[in-house]
Amino acid sequence: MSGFSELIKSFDKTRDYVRDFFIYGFKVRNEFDRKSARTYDDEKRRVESWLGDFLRYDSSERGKQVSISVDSGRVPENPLYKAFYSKSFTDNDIRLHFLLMDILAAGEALTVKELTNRLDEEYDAFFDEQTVRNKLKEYVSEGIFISEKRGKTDYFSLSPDTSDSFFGEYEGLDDAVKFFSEASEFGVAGNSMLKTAGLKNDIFLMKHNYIVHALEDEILLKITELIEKKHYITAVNFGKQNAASENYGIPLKIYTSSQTGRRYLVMYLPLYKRLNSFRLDFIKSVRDGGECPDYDKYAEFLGKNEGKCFGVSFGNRQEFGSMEALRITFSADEEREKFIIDRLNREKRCCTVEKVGDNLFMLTAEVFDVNEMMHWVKSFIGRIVRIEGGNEEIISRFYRDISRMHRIYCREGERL
Amino acid sequence: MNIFSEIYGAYFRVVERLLSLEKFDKSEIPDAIEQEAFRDSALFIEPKLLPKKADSSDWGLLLRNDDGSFSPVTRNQPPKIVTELQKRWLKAKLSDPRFALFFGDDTLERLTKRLENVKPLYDPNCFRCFDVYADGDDYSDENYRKNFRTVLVAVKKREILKIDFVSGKNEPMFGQYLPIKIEYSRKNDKFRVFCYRMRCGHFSGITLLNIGRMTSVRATGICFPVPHADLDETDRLFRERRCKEPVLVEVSSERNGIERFMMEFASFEKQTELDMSAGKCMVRIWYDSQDETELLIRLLGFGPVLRIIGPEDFRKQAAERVERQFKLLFSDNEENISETS
Repeated sequence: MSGFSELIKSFDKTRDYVRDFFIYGFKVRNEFDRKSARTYDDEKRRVESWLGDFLRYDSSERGKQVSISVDSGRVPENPLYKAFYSKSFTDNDIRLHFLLMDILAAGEALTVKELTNRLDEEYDAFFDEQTVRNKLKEYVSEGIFISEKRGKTDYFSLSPDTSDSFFGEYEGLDDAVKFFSEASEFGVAGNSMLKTAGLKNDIFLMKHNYIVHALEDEILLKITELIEKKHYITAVNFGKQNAASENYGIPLKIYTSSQTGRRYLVMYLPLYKRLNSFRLDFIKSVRDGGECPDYDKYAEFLGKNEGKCFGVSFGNRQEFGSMEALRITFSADEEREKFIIDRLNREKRCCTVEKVGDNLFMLTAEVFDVNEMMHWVKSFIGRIVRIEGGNEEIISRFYRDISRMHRIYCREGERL
Repeated sequence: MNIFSEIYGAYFRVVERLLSLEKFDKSEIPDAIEQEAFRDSALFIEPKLLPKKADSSDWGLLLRNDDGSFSPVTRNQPPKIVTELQKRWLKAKLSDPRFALFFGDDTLERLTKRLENVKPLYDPNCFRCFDVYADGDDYSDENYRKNFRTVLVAVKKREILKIDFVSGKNEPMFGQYLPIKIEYSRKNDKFRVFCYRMRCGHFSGITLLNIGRMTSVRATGICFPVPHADLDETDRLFRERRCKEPVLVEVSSERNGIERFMMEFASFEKQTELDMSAGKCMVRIWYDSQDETELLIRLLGFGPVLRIIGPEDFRKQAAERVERQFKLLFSDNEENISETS
């Protein structure tokens, strides 16, 4: 395996592999069909090096399975962040990083020429001015150095925003960063702050936590930047069958589910004159499509419509999806089973719940796509007295499903 | 902004750690690598880190001393800068209603002022979590904030607390507890605290209390004199609550069932095996025994594309619910049964 490096230049390919090891866990070597066997071996070795403690090896009839198995509710730190700490770099990158920081640590402001000379004279490190200038420019944009013009000359100094000053001056910031580095979007940025300060999350645990979302943070950041700029976007998407497709539209919002682990980019598609949602984990790259002059109009359009989504589907019709009404009657003993009524009320989203009889409660939905509700509705199995409205196909399927489940669970020997 | 950059990388942190030492032996390098980098990193870092006489293929950041030890070529402690990305991330979090829980008003005001010219990394309004429960904690409630902070301080100090709270059955309760970890559920939008329950001055098992149900929290000044053994404590915590036997389910590929299941249950510890020819997947799921009902209803939500195989008690619970449901829908209409069979 000559030439192998545990560091990587781009995140895309690794994101795919880590996701497959983590989400599926049952794939064997020859089922990673996107790339060559050599690529699989390299990616597997990287993942083993980064996440060794969380890897599980199982043998099946099809071959050896490698998977990442972790109960995300009991780890203090998202192990998948390690993938973000594996960016490759050149010898010059690391040398310039520490030497320039060391020169400027004394508090001076110096020019490119002065810095280049100091590198040569004091550290025996010869770099041409342009290389030093490029690194300084990069670090100014990263907020590590500050650039100040004196006359026509740029002077560079170290940012005064040190980790010690932040964590020392604001009591509670360490705990807040520990929490938010695990709790929500772009947590890896907070995790890197902790690492710089030599801190670890030793307080918080995250339940119902989809740590795999971290793998999407890089592309998510590009998307949120384009949403903020109010630009068009082309999302390159690899779907379920690995077939590439491109979707051009106006990016409006990220919809996230705390229960299914899925996240979506909601876009308005001018070609189809409709809103649509795209799985974030299937988006491989995005391209900036330039400014959208009518952006606010489409954002408002989404605002008017999102109250009628139970999940992420805007239905099938153009402009406005057609609405479907669904009424479900649940039984719950008002005295002894108040928890069922509480559950309905806290989980009903855009629907309404009303009492319609003794120990009977009706949930009424008027949404773009009632099919989206059915997974949730089935979690009330044992309580559903009646289901009406929607469309015939969905209602029939529900009855068929209950009938099939009855055969599976209550008539022994029935198979799926 | 670049979230995937070498400046946050593990190799840079290893070097930073070593450059912060005045002098060190070669034997100290593996420790720095183990603390900051990956399992195989020593193979790649050491050859580049150690100074070479013959060529300049190393990183040029260390000097070899006469006694065989190493010293940094740098003269200062490596500065630890909060980058623009990190400041922008913090600024975005400022508008999160949970952020204020961690600060006193004055501190929050000063931090807000410090970040006033920083652009947030993203607009929190870009995100909509559409299925979060509607009865989440009220983070703006003064009593809640006070209780949260008392609990947080106690977790860090390992201090025993006197807690009044309302139970799940709406009964007033009181007890002494040693809080050890704070758990947050995004789905429930609630904070809960794992505590050791104290009875007659002794620990009597682990319990989970909702901060939102606490009416009064008082510090006792009594700290439990055991140093933080973080991982051990978490392991112990979950060992007590872990299911005795994993649930075994069979998931079919019908309606994209396998993909949906794998995604939804990604947060669980599990073992999977695919039967390609049958288009089915067998999965063992380990879970917190306190969450058994939640797991059961989530599995039933998959309908007939998922079959709970065991353990027998768990399967029986599913069967009872299905039987009850079947009777509710079909008991008055036997014809329906044959039509849908």
